[in-house]
Amino acid sequence: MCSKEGLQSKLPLHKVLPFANVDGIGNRTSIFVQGCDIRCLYCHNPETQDVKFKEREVSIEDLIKEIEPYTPYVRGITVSGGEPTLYHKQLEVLFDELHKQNLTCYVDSNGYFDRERIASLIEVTDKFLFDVKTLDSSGDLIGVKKTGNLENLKYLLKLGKVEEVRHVALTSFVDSENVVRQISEILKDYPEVLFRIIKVHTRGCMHEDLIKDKVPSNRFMGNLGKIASDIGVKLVRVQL
Amino acid sequence: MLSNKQELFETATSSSLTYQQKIAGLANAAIRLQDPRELLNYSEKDWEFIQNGMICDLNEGYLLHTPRYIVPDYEVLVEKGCDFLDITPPKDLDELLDDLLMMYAHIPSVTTFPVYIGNLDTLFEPFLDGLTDEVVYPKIKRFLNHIDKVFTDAFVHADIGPKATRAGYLILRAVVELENPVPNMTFNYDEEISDEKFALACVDSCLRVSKPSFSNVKEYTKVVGKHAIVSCYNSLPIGGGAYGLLRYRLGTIAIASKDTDDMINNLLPELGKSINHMMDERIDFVVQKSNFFESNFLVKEGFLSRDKFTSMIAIVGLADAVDNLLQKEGLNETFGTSERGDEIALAIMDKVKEINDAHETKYMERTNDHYLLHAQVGAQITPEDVDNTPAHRVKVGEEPILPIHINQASKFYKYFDAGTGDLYPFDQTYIDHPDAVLDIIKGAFHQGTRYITTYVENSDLIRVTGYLVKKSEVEKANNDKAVLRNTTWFGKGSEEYNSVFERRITK
Ligand code: SF4
Repeated sequence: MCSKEGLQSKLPLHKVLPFANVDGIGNRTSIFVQGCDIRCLYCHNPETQDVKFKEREVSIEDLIKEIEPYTPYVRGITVSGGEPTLYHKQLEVLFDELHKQNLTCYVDSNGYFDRERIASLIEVTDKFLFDVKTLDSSGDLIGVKKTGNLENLKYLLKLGKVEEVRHVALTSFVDSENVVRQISEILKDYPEVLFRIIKVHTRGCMHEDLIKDKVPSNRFMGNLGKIASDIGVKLVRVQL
Repeated sequence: MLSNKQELFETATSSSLTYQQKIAGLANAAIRLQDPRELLNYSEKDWEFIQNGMICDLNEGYLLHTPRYIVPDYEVLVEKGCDFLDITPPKDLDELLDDLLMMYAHIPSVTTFPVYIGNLDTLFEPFLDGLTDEVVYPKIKRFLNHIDKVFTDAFVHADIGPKATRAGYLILRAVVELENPVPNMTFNYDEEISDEKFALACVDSCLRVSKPSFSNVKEYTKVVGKHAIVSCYNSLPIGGGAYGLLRYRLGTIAIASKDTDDMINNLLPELGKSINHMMDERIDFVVQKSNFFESNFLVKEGFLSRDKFTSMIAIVGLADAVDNLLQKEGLNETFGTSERGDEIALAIMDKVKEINDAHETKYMERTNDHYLLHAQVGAQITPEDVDNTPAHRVKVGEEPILPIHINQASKFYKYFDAGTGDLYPFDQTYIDHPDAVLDIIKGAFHQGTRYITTYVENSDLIRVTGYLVKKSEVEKANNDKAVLRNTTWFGKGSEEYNSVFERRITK
């Protein structure tokens, strides 16, 4: 895509958060895109799943203008969703432009992407915030049958492009203990990468009724944290 | 305002003032007994502008005996001790801390309490050699606590930085543990000199106990040279200070203006003549008649020198002025979010600067024979201040979102070489992310902001316009009970007039 044309390409947008302090180190501008390729039971932004419900569509050029007043105060942007990698072509243009302004560009992904297809996005992405939802391919948790995404994780880790790995823990629909173990076995060799283990929150989510009695106890969460540390992960944060 | 017997009587018999406050109040009333038209050659016009509230002299009085703000060079104490107090140069940390406390009690000030108590970490650091943190920490903590209980006024100001020192870290630790309003504190921050870890510790402290604030030391050094941040964000020369402060009440002036053009091209120039004349006369009196510079030990012993003094012409109520003029232009917009509003504001400030630049004056060699402009964030003292939001700040409740707000505010810092500052509250989540706040501070400094402070909502110790008060003490004062701190009274005024406790919070 030539740059001029790329700047005009459109991105379905859910919202822009000028300042966010939870998407990586420092202050960042968060951009939420619309549209996701999976259907997590606990999705808190179900309205972002379907591209039909987009708040608006903006060109990359206009998006850059929109965030310009915020950029003096942030280290960069984080694109969340929805699933940002669905728009790898547009984001590639966006990131190229923002790099010219010395801003770092992060992608917050569910990890189920085809890395060949989005290779050029990976190249221009500074860091990924990488979600590991589940490792089985039943589709119980994520609504679609997909195989695990640990290979993608390993690939990005080797490139030094992972800021943090996340797992949202439940007592059912996913074997959280196994997920934590497997991630930890990988992360123990990457002491600079944060592993965030998050207790599922049900309020306001898509299928509250299905998961409200699948919320782990604090003790269960503590145990997951301990498993990760015992395996040798240096930076573990348990979020209750 | 002139005082009278009735005022003296009411002060003496008040049920809500402490002993110290009564003494200070009576002394202040005494120097407002004589009419400045006789004593200071004020013209009828000058006096009219004081009477109708367009120019405010902060009730500083007329029979002037001392410069308003004294900024002693405390390094002199370390080097030479003090003859007047019979102090020899301190040999260890204990002596230094004692000597400083003794000095503070003798620093004259318009508030009766010292508005500057030194760049504390650089003063302490050379005395820490060979002492462990366990030994030093309790001493520093006691010292700071002593200041809070004896110098009961939140305009008492300490500086730290820009370099990270062990003393600096220990001061921060004590400040967080004590949660005292006094002393107010500034971190002189320089991205290139201050190390990141120390800057983050300062942010963390600021989020927890609303101090230290961040000053862009490099920028202020460019315009004021060797300086300290004192009182309510005044950047003043060390070893000198400021003779006085008079302020334009822009909100009040706008009320009396026909339109924008009338304010800028008729009223401001006329007021400018008066404000400069009154300031000249006041300084003449302090320098020539008060005998301060002939008799005070600080001058004789080199803590101060006359040629390091400047003086401040300040503004308040830029927001109110602009809102008023926008209305007169038929625009339903407000300062902070109005493009035309910013144009008007910049035009007003350009005029104020032009008037100041055109006035050369005596006894002002330290600042190139000119007064320094200042945007006053402090005192809310009379009902007139209802119509005059502090400095160039956006009115509470009318702030745009934070990044837009900082961009807007940053346009105005360049005018105020003698200091100004804005404050931005954050929500609780930022306590875990001082790095995010530091990013914002750095960005603000790059945009032209020179001074920034912040606090987290829901703490008892919060910032009112510039100084710190305990919310719980303001509640007491509202019930007319005597409270420890003078500044609580100002806090009370601000709460009533400007509802600062409800400033927009960044979530
Ligand atoms: S990955 Fe899951 S949680 Fe995230 S937007 Fe898609 S469905 Fe929602």
